[in-house]
Amino acid sequence: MYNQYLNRGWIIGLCWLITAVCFGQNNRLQGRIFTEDSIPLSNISLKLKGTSYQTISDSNGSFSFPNIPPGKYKLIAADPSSESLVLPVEVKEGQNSPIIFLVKQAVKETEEVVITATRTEKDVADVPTPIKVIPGTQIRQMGSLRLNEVLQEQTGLAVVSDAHDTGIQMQGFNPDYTMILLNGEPVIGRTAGTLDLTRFAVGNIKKIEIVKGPSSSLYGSEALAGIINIITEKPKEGFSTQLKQRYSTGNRGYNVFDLTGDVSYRYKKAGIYFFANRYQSMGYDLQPETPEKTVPPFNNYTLQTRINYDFSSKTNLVVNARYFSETSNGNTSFSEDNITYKIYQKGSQYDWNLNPVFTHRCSPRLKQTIRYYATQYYTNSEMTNLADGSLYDKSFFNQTFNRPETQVDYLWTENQQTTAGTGVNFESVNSTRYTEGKKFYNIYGYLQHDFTLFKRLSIIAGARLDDHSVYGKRISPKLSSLLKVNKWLSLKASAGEGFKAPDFRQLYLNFSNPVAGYSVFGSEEVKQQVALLQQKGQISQILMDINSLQSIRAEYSTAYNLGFVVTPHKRIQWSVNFFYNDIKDLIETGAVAIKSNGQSVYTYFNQSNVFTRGLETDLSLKLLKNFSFSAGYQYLEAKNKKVLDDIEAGKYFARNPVTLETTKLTKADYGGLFNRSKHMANARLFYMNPKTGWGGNIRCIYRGRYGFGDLNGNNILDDGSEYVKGYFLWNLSLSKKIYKRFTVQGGIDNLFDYTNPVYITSIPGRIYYLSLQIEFAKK
Amino acid sequence: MNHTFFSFIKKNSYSALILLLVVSCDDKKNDPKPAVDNALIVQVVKNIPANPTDGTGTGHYTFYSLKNNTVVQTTDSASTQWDIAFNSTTIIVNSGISGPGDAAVQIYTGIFSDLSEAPVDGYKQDNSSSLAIPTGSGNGWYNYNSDTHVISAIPGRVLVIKTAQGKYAKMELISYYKDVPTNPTSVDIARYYSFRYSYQDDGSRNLK
Repeated sequence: MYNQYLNRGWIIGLCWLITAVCFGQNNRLQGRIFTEDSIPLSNISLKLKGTSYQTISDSNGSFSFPNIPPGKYKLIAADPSSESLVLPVEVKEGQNSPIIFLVKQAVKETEEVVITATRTEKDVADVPTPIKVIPGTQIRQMGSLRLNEVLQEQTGLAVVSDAHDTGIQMQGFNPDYTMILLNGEPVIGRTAGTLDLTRFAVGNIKKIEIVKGPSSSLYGSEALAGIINIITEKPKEGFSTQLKQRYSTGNRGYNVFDLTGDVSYRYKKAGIYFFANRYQSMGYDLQPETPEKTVPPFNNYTLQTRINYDFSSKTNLVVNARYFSETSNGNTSFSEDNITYKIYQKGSQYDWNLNPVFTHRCSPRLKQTIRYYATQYYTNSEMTNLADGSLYDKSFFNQTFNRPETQVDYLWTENQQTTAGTGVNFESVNSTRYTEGKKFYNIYGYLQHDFTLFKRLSIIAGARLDDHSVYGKRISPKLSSLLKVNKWLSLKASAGEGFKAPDFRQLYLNFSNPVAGYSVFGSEEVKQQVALLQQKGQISQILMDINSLQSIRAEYSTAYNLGFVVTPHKRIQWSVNFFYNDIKDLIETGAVAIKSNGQSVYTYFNQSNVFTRGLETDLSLKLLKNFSFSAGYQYLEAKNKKVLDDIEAGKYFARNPVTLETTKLTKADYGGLFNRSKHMANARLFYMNPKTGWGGNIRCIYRGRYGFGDLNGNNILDDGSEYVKGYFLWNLSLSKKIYKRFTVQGGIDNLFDYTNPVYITSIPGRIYYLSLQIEFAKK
Repeated sequence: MNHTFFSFIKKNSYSALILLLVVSCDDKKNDPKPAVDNALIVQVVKNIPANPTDGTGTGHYTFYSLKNNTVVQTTDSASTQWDIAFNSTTIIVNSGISGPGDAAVQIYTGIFSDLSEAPVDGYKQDNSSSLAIPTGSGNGWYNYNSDTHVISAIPGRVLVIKTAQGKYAKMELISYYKDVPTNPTSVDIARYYSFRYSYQDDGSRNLK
């Protein structure tokens, strides 16, 4: 919060003067808004906190709220490009309020309005679930280019990579269980479950909101671990543009060129923001002795735009659109049936989306929103033999998602608000990996009531009904509460259910890996496909009765989050959250047959019941001028319940690979699910001096040891040799603003050149970078 | 025979040690217990091929006699000379659909050396619907790791075998890979069984 307040480079030094004049007659609240140079500010959104009263300042900086019931309010003046200002005001029956002057530097409280946790605008301090906001300014100070770089530095989030994608682990859940939203709408393209975060450039991000704990009561399937909502920049008043070029280089062939530019224009009722990014990577090679690069070279482009139009102070339209495309190519080689293939691999992918949002305030109490979201994700890959140019393999994946949705927010009294929404998802997917194109639809409705008792206790109760064309009905409830004990202590508690429906892949996949030779079939395909393989004589052994396999069910979790926020001083904030997720019917792959090439045939099963539990804590200190320090820590346990029961029943043993002696395991030997670190921590120090233009930061991330796989035959994590060692990453950045228009930034990521070529392919080692930014703005 | 086998008297060395201790105590105690040295020999067998994929595969099971601690010729597969046989990950016993014998087996969960007596009942034979030692990862004697594609003998699973001639034995499978690599990978040569076993020739259920 304070970072955002302190670090908004372009607006630092600008003072706001708000003159609020309240006329008693007609209970009208009105005023004008200026800069400190007495220049009127137009198009500033003003609202009364906790109500739906909202207006926009005109070209003279004037604004007014007619017919306000007498009482005390907080007037919030929000600039789309800056933090909001808050001014307490009082409307008295038949009386004029005194004229209030507000100077920005004198404001002690900055409001941060978030949207993700409740799907309504809410002050972050009033949100009863664990929430974290990463402001865009901080992202730029960190020198990050892609979304995974930003998220890996956040408390409790671990970046995990599989062969294809880089995703995020939250509260011990795999990346598949965190919903990624772009301006509130879900991003698609999970070819293997993980949504690849490197698809997102961060140069146009206004902020990222991270909500932990299940949110299926608002968002439906996938929002099991939590939600990451990427909120992009809006058009700023006047005209502004910036261009930033960055070059990064490192050992192991790492070279990245990044070019980012944006243009923003807003005049009266209309505004447009346009963003473009080109990212070119030469890839890198952690194991030069192998013929292929760890990450092959790739190139991508991102175009994004946002158009605002205000029909009136009551009605407005926002249209978001994005286009992204990436191409990559590289060589690889492998042996199959004693023939060595040298392969040239070429891949491409693109996604686009279009998202118009129409908002209308029918009355001061009633707000209606109509949204439409259309998106497509497409990827293909072509492998050709280097020797003769013949085609070895070709595959594609094509997914579409369309959603009309409407939402109504009704404010009964200052203390009670109801939100209701309904919509339909239409999804389709087609792929070389599926036997044929598939279609789903899902009708849903959600209802949420938010009420405050005694001004201290606020309770939000909600539920969502999903009616799926394949899976039938599912209800996801959630109850959360916030108790403001006193000025410096708030308690938060929430309980909810989350679910994740089996996805296309788990149902319909029909995939045989051309390189490794194994096959994976969706649960709806497996009977037919294994029968086909048997006919072809490609099955050497059937491992289980395939005809008795049941259809897979949705995975679901019941989760509890309990925590507190302590703010003993305006410059100190400490938060703690305990979490417990009880997850049932996890879908996992299991082998059902062995092929004659020695590789397996897999399908998906509802197998495990697991739990994840732990605590996370964040401390933020701003004790010195221009400095801010923060630190975070997460303790995590994630275990399979059946394994625990079986250990207790004496069914788990370990064989020492050297002595070959077998010993019985105890619960203490069990390290839990693979790929989870028990301990993760981060610490960072930021410096920003608006007077001199110097800024800098040093950040450290620790990821504790985690299991990579079984080595001693019992298929669980128990032996010390089954862990990847814990590691630290240190990142530095330094920036200087020159002549108001130029900013030079340089930095080093991964200062001590940590790499782990075998188990962590996503860390390329030490990287140096230098960037130059030019900006121009005219009000 | 292309396999090597070792045998050593592990239990006996322990007993000898105990005997020494007992002897050393003799001076103080006038009631020396007779040191009974009747523990079974633990045979350790390595690299029994089970139709391997390294070019030496026969396409057949490899049949094994626990009494003689030898591989039995394939031509004798219709006899009761063999007790247990191996082909890739599948293990059969000389019974039912697999052979003319009356062998049977059950899987005991525990530590090999802790199993001192064969259970009275609970033995299974190979029949047309299922084998006595079930196939499939986690079902019988092995786990299959879908990340590394490695087959590992599940630690803590002991095959309690009633042989084709009605004698009792216990067996612990150790490795599926040639020369028992410490950390097998999918490039190691598979389908070579290594195991340890004890055979009770006196017909009793004593497996100590």
